[in-house]
Amino acid sequence: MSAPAGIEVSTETDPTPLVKIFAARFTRALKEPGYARIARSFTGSFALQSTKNPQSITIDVRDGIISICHGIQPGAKITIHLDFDEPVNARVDGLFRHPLLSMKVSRFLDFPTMAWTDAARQFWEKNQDYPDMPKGIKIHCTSNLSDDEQEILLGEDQQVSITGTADNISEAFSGNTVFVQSFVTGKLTGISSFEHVVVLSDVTFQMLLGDRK
Amino acid sequence: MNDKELLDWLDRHHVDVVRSHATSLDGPGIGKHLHRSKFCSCLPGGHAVSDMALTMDLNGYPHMTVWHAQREPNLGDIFLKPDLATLITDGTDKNLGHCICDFTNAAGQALDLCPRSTLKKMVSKVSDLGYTIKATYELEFFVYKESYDEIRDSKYKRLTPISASTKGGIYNLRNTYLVAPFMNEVTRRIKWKGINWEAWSDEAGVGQVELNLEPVDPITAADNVVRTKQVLYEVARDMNMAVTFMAKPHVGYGSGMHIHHSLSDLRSGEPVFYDKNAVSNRSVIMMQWLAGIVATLPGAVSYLCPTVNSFRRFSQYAAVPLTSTWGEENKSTALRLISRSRNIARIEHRVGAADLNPYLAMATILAGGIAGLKHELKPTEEFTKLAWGLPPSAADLPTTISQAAKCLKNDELLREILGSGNVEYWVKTREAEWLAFHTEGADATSHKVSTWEFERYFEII
Repeated sequence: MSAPAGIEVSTETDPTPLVKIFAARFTRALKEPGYARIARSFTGSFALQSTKNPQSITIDVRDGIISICHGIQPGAKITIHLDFDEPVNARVDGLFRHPLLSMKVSRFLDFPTMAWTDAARQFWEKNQDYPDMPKGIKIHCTSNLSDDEQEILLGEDQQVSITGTADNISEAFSGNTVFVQSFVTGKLTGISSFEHVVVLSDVTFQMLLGDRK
Repeated sequence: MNDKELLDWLDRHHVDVVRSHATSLDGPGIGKHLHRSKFCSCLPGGHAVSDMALTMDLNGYPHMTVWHAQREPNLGDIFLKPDLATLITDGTDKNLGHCICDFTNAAGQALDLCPRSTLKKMVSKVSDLGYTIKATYELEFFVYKESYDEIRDSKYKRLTPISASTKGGIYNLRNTYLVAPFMNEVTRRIKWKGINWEAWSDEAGVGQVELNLEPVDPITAADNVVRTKQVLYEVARDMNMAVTFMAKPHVGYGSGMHIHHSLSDLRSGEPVFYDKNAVSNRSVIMMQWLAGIVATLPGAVSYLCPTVNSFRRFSQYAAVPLTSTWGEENKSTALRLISRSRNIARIEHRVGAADLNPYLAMATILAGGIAGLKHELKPTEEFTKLAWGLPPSAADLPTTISQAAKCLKNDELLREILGSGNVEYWVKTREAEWLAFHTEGADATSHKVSTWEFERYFEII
């Protein structure tokens, strides 16, 4: 997988889901010039380990390539233990041996967030013709914003309506999660047929894995 | 069978309850126990089930990342339409009857995703080309002393195979002697159900048995497999033992499901694979048919090896084909040809794992053959050596569930014959299975069979 901005993303052959997810995340983030600058200045090797299941990946960045593979590889200087769904309280192995690297990794993994309106509109532009996609979606943002920033209508005949905070709407529509996951966890609420939940989940699943840009 | 004949049959056999039996995408049997009056009043369309019965994974979660035009918009009902030609009595439960069903919509039309209907379509296509098919499956499975509940309580650590030998062997009569009480009951019950069996024997794995059923038409052959698997489960439960169709529950040889088939002329009934005037007695039809199966083999692996565990069988010198090869009487190649005599000329497909869906696996094989005939394909060269331990090459088959899904996604021939919608749907369910393995607690860095695999597959597949 290649990316613009003078830095490339590369994965192992037959990557695991977590490898693909991070590869896609990096690829999307690198389109943002500010993040691309941070990425170009970073060198190092670190691992991420889920606290909920055995999933782990190693990310090695050098010579303009972000290489991602599954497992904790011997070269990883620090290992970050976290819940990938709620990465708030992470624990870092190797923090005191490599404090500078730990700080840099923290910036490196601080991916830019798209404004919820941009995320939603971009999603619609790319996916409105996907088979069985709803004819239209109404999105209502509950974050504290001005009146004209709180609702947008995508398409016509809004068959689906979605409500959530700016961050959760952005997460769902920018491919950082699978749609049904947002509903199941209560991050989004909405009115939709089961069919449309599945179709939206299908598309966002592909985006999450980087199989659909 | 008309209404009166049905009532007479139910009376004559003292059947008060009929068990409907359809087969879902992953392979488990789906159905209900119906009072005879309900069974009769539902005909001909059958009884309703939520469409989740056809569109859910092995843990009962609906497929959430793939849609099909024939799915119900809000989990509405589909129907299990009985095929009354398959109505039989249980033989053990004296008031119980069984009937194989197809998944249909409310209008009685077969659903594209229904595995049995998919196979029927392929058989129909072969018929349109002027041929009939005879087929059979070799069932391999492991038999254990412990009950399913004991095994589950031990967290799948206590698994004592019924075996005299601790390291394996094959056709060993002492192993056979130990498992005979179990197998005698199995063969008694399947015989009652009209399933003719030819042989059973000790297989290479410790506690592994192979059961061979008589060749019949492919739909009946697949029906016989699902019924036999259900019988094996019921006998194991009745005898406080356990049987599994997991492809590789432990170290050592795994379980496959080899599939044999041959074609005959539709009108004359004459076998068409054998031609005494052809090179090696192999007819043009056989070679084109074979060529199609070989060409679609990498894509077909996804159907033939549907679970994460299926691929644990794949290692060198483990009696599993790893390449898209074929050869006369060659058990290391993916396809073994037998063409020395007219009446036994056939193709044995050796890639399939024991956990395959027999309808979908056969449909995929037939689809390959159909593609071969339709496009008059020429086969690759015969492989006359041992097809294990070879250097890497383009003939290598995919060895993981994700690689296999990718191969199928890119297989234009299988899309053409099976239908793009069906193929796309299946591919995405395999991606979901792959995701579930990684995110629900299995360790991708370990070579051991995970608890996740045991919990998901051991008793259900």
